[in-house]
Amino acid sequence: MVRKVTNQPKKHSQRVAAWIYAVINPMIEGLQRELDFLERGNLTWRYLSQRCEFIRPIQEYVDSTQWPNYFDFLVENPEFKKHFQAHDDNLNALNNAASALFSWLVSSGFLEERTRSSLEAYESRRAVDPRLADLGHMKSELPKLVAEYLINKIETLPDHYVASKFWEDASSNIRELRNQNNFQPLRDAQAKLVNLSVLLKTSLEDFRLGMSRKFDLPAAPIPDYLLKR
Amino acid sequence: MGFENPLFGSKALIFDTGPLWEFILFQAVHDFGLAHLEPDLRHMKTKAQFQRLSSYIGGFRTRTTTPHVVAEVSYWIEKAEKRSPRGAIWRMTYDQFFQMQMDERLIKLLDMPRETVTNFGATDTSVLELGRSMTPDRPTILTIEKALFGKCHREGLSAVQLATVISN
Repeated sequence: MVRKVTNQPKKHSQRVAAWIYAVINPMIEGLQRELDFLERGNLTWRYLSQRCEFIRPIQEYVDSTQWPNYFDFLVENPEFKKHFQAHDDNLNALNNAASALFSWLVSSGFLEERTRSSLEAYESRRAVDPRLADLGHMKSELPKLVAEYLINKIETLPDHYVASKFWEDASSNIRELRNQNNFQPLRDAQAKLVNLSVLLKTSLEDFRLGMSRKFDLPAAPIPDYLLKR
Repeated sequence: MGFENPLFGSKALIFDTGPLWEFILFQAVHDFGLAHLEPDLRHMKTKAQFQRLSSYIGGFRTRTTTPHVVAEVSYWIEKAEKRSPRGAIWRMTYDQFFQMQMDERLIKLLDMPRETVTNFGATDTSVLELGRSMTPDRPTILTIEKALFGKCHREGLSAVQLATVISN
């Protein structure tokens, strides 16, 4: 097992710079993106992959070519290990809660019934407005897609999505399913992850500031300036 | 509007590389927080412009392209991903294709006219040939390239430039 050494890196240490630029900054950016999605209630969960697509385990926010620097950072700063683990465990819990909710939604019958009646109304509308997209080929997938929209709290869809007009009409009829108690575990897991991600982002920002002060390094690289030194 | 659009009966929209990449890149920057890629946006700068494009696409029953175009977009994605979280733009692109139910149709190189390939390259020619093969659907080709736009018009194919779609 690799041990933490007591010798401190010198000022302008390239090693500490690598931690800041290649490890900490991408993690902070990843956590910020994650929080932007979570604050909108959009978990970016997809039924095809059964996971949150844009909320990832911490290590995945770091480019794989920089993983040696990520592991080096953890060797010298092991206190972050448990925070990263807590984040990833909560993300797993969120993914599991979303998958369980999805299974309930698609098997409960409520959703299927509401999707079917909304689709019938849409098809009637389409009969007089041929510009509306044909969703016939998606009939079997539509309840799954609708469940995904509910899980991700999608209120409206962009016009270019094939189900955009369908969802415009159907969402008010279907969205109230979000009030069911079965959504509570998902809401709890989401709230937990938001709290953890906020704390982790703040800890990383504080750590970066500490390192910047201690090693006289800017928080982001300024290539031309550094080359002149 | 003074250009061919779905209101006038065109049912299929064929994407050339430029508009498709710009469409993906705009969403990567504005919806997925990859703000460092913003300088790469060449045509679409505002949400209003994106909204116009989104509505325009939404008016077509079929949205399609060729594997040649997808291969060119892959190149741009992979270039952008060197400066972005690995896989993020691909995940987003896959989502967009799925949600748009984007179709893809292969036009083999040896099925393309030799002279057109020589002058326009395989990608533009694949788009042109796809347009020709879909005549009953009255397709519209969406491009940013003046040369391809001109060629489409000379060949009697409907085409529109991205700048026209996203302008007021």
